[in-house]
Amino acid sequence: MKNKIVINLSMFVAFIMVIGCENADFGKLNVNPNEPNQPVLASLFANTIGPISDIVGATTPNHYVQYIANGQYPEESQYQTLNWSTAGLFATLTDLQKIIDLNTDEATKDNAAAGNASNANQIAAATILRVYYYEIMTYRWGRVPYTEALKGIENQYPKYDSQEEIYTGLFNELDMALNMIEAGAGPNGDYLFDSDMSRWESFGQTLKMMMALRLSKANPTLGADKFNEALGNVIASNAENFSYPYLSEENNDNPWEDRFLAPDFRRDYLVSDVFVDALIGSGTNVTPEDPRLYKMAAPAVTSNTFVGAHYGESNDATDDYSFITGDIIYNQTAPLYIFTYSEVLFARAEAAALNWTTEDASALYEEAVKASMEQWGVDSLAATAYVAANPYTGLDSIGYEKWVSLFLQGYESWAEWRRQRAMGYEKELVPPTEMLSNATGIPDRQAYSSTAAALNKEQYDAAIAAQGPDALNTVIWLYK
Amino acid sequence: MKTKFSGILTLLLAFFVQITFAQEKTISGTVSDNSGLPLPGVNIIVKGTATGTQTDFDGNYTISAKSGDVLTFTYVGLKAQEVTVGASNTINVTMEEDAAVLDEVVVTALGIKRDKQSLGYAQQTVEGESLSKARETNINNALAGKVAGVQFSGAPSSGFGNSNIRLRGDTGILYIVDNIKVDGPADVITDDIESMSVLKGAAATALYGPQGKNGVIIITTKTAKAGQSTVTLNVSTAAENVYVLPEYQNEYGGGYSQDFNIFTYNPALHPADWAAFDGQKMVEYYADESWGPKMDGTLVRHWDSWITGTPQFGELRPFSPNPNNVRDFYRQGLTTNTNVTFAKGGEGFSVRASLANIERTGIVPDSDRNTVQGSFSASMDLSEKLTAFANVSYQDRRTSNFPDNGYGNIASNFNQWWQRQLDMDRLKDYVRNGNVVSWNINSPSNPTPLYWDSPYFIANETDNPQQKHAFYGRFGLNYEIIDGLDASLEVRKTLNAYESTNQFGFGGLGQPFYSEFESSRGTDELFGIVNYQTDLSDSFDLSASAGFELYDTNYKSISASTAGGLSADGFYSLNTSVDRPNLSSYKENVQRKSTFAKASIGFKDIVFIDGSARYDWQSTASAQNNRVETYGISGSLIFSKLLPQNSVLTFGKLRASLAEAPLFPNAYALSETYAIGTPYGSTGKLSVKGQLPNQNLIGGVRSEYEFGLETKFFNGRVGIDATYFNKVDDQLPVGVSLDPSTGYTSFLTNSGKQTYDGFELAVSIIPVRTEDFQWDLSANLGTLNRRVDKIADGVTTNVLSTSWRGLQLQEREGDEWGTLYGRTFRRDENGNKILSSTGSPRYDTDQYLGNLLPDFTGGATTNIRYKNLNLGLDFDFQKGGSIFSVTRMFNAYSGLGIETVGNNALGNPKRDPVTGGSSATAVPAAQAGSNSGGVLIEGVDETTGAPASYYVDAVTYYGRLFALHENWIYDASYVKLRQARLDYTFPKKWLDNTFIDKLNVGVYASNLWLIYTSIDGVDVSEIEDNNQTGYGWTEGGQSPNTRTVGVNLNITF
Repeated sequence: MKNKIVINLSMFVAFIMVIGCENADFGKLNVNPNEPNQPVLASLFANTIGPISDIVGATTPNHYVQYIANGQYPEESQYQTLNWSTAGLFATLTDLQKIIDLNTDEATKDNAAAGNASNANQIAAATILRVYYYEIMTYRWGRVPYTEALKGIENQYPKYDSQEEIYTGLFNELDMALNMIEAGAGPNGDYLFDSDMSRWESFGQTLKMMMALRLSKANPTLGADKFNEALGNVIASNAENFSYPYLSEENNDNPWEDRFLAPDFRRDYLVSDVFVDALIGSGTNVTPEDPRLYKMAAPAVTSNTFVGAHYGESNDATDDYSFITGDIIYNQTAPLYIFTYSEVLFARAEAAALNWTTEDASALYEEAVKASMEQWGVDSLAATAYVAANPYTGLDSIGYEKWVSLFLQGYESWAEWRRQRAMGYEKELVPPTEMLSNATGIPDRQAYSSTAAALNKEQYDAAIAAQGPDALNTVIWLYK
Repeated sequence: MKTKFSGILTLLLAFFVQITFAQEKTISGTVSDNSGLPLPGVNIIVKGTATGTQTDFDGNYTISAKSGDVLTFTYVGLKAQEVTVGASNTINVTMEEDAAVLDEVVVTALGIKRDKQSLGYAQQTVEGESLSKARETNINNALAGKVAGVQFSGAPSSGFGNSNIRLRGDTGILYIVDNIKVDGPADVITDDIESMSVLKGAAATALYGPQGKNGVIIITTKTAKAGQSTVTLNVSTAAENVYVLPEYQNEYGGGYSQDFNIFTYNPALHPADWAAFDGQKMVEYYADESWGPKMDGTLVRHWDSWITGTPQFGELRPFSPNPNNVRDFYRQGLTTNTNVTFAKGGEGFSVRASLANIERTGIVPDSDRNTVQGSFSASMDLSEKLTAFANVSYQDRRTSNFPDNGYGNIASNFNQWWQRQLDMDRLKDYVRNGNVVSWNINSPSNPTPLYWDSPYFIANETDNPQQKHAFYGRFGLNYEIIDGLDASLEVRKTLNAYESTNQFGFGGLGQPFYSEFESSRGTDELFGIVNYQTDLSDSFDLSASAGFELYDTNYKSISASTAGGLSADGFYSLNTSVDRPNLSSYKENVQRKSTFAKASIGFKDIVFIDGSARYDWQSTASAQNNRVETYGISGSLIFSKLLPQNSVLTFGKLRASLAEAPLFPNAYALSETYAIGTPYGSTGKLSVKGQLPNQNLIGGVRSEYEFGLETKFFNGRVGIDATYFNKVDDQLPVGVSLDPSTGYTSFLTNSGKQTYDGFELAVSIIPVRTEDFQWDLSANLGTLNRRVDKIADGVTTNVLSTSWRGLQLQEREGDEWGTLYGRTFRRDENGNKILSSTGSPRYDTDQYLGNLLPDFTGGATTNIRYKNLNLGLDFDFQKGGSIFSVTRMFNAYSGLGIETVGNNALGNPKRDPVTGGSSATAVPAAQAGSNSGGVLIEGVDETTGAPASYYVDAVTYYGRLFALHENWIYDASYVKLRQARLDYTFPKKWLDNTFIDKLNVGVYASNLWLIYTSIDGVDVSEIEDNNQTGYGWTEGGQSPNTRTVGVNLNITF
């Protein structure tokens, strides 16, 4: 009896284990119902435009070039941030790579073009945007992974490429993209240029000109070549300026408005004394010499005059100082500029002065200042009077006026200021007395992500060995 | 009914009276234990009478009895003996150890009851009694310090957060109530708990599969015993107050400078009648730091004196300290906890119903919680062989508001951005003259809040109420096929649903906002088991079980929030969102199929061998490879049974086990999907996700071995239980960090190897044990090492979590798990700090700071009973482990903490200006004027390497230390008296003529005494876990800790 039960039980156990087949079939249970498993190219493309806003709306580089000062918390103007994460930009580059791949791979390219722009136009637009982001990355951090980047686990430890290689590579990519542009619409989801390929072409050419000028110190030969290739294809009026289009809704409005009104309601940023005093110039704090100051800044509440806040220091009583114009900080849809006509004109003036071109530096300088005045809404009479009083006297004029004209275009201005300092004709700026993050002067670059050393140590160490310490004041190849 | 009762009583009395008429004689003798030692304090009763006595110090006794009477000898821990009085007048008794004490029956996996002595793995039981006396509503709190190898990680006690425990280093513990896997410890009524069985190792939890991987706490609820019919009422009321706050300075008030601002009348800005205010001293209202003037009673315009149309307008009042302002903000909290239980057991049935109501008002204004929970359990014999059983529990919990933790909440306001002189009472009235006002006003002419609303506005107008519904239940049948063979089938269900809203009030600093969030998780389980038990021979006995489990869990959530504000003033809804509301929803379904079998063989109650096997198939693993097999074996040897009986070693057991536990990937980790972004107008956005999927991801196995020694000495008065465990996670599905330049931030893979090991020691001592007085002591200690042997091919570092300015939690190959990396002072080879030419300390990034794992954790519990009075004390402690303190960093940065005042090395107030040099920031120490203020920093110069020291302006000095992580890393050691209880059980005879069967009254307290904490003003045993690592490693401005004192009344009818 007892044995029989044992046998029965053993058989039952055996049965249970045998029905335990190798694998169980759960059907489609593990298919994620929350997110699409197929890419939608229009949505991917739209997503790659957003980060432009983070660049054109950033605050810190506007401190570096001393356009703005802090209110009661001075740390940002004293360079409190050492490590800047590259993760967001690399993620965007991954999205762009996905778009390029889907339009390149035989298996997917037809599908990618169906109901959308041609494969060529999608690749061209995505590549131009990729070059734009990459150039910003290299002038912010210096060496960055480029040739071996974005390969996932196929290459877990991408090497950091030299800036020289990166610029050469980016020009090649840009030229390829510009050559690919063909008739027809641009990519779906392109809310930057409304799927207009002619705008992409003009953006690509303007980008090429800016990148070419950026090499004036590091590689003027290549710079001059590329500059001349772009010349004639760049924008020709303020109406063609490139800016990020903001909407009057909380999720897509101008970040300056977010800081001063909803959702942050803060008063952290004032126009700096360096900038205000420069624009007051020979005028007074009521009638500044440079008429753009009326458009760029608001008079202080307590005195109703233009008063710049002390750069690099705490400015407690914010009502005593000038804020950035309410047209920007209280306006959800105020555009923030990527590249403007005046910047193109200043570039052409400088290239002419450097003998890269045969254009007239003086005339272009005057046009550049007037274009800036027009961009800021200054009437032409006042603009003409200003130019007459401040004629072209050489590259120093370009240095100063370009600095003024790039007001609030932080990253672009910081990149250009460093270049012009390397060339010796920048608007002179004095670093603050108290500097954080081991800084010893106005930042020459930004340090890599705080995890960079941990996650890609060998290549990080190699980059540091070649470039210098991972500090704010290591001068990068571009500006050496 | 009552008449009938008194009738029986009379009858009984008459019976006793009759007995006393019989012939009596005097009996005397000696009582000794089995080693021959006399036993004092043995109770001797003439059975069936009230006559009794005790042995004296030498074990002697005398008692009156008559022939034929039965004398009952009882002594705690020894077996009761009965001796019939015969002809002799001398009765000597040798009392034997009570086998029942050793043959403790404990609850093991799947609710199977086993003799503790037969277990081949560590198991510890925590009785429910102390829970119901101390009215602890959180099971994890009740386990703090009681079980070796359990590390307690509390949530700030002022909030409603759940505290966490880690068993052998892991969180994610499975809680089981009467075989039902509940969602969490908060779903259980603690008054229902009979006992909790803590299973730590893989051998103990093997039958639970993946969910039991990190340890299991099996909760057995009370049931009615046969013949029992009771109504129990357990009522308590407790008051709760703040007990630890950082030590604040009370010398300097709000501001950035020690000079007051002066009001200057400006006709262009100010009304004409303000001209009279010209020259008045003002506070720097906009400053939310306390580097201001001395609080010396100077008459100044406080913030409320600028609010027109109020009585305070124009007032000048002294600028004086309010040392208790922060403490004053917190109110006294109150908790009332009422539980009623009905239980009845009879021939073939048992029912129990329990209803609990817990109302708590927290110390933060407007934070209240009301929990109502009912449970019902029943079992009945449908036939001789068929038993049916059912349990259900339902909880309705409503929370009016959760006090936030983390940066930016009310408590962080007081600890990070505050003016020390503020009078808290004046902030209560935050709507004045029709406007929402605050201490942090913009300026006299613009008295709207700048960066901070009144803390009362935050408490009252920014609400996030939540309603929770938690249901769990089961229904099952058990059929006894033949004697020793039975089968059960059970269906189980849990359903946890949450609804919450969040709103930010109109008129405050932010945009009015409203959001709703709903989530539910439902789990269904079908479980079947066949059990067989038999004696194979006189020496061998066997028990075996086999069964299956089908598991299906569904999670669903939906959340919506307004964007761009609310269009209807004073009204909160999604429908009045100004812009398109933000929406998101999520659902997840996971299924698992499992079979298991186990068998145990015992030899003469000396040797026991257990074996188990379990197969799991789960839907989240690769469809080509979704089965994980796990096996376990354990054995125990009761070596004391092989030794001659002796008076020292009462019991000795060696145990060893080797077992495995499965782990499956998370849902949806196998194939690529695209993340949905916030749309631009009507243009949708998608992006490639940062985590690379892996279609080959499969389940993995953790293996663990364990050795233990369990001994009892001196009749069980000393017990020692020691365990060594070693567990290895190998090839588990894990996420590994990638450098973002790869285009991704992490990838999923089956890789890595980590080894945990540690010792666990539990000691129990009964120094005194007599009938009237008993003193029990127990203590435990656990250590834990966790080594990272491998991460993935070619990967040596994994970033687990990041915090303030590059502070990271990492794991590095070859190192202990859980290391903190961040900024350290840059030093020369002799360890001197390297300083800039202005005395600024230079620092390096990505440097080793410490490790969050403690050296050891443990606790001690003592219980002293004198007659019916009982005193219980529970201590717990932790040694080592690193923690980053944001509170301390900000206390210093904002001039709030005590360390920011006092004198410098020159004997001058630190906050005085630095003198003797050309800079207001710093002066070389050698040049400093004799009256110079500033804080001394010493080191070496960064260019020359020569010794350098500076007096640095206090604000600058602490500003430079901000986010210099090394300076704010603390050791997380603590010792605390977590709980104390004193209660009195009324003697039965006092209750004889009442309807009350049992009566116990008590007082209790929790967080009574923080004996030691490494961070002054912060209880490191209750740290928020805002990085969700399962370890609170950054204390980020959390809500304070509270002390609770209450009274409790427990009546059984």
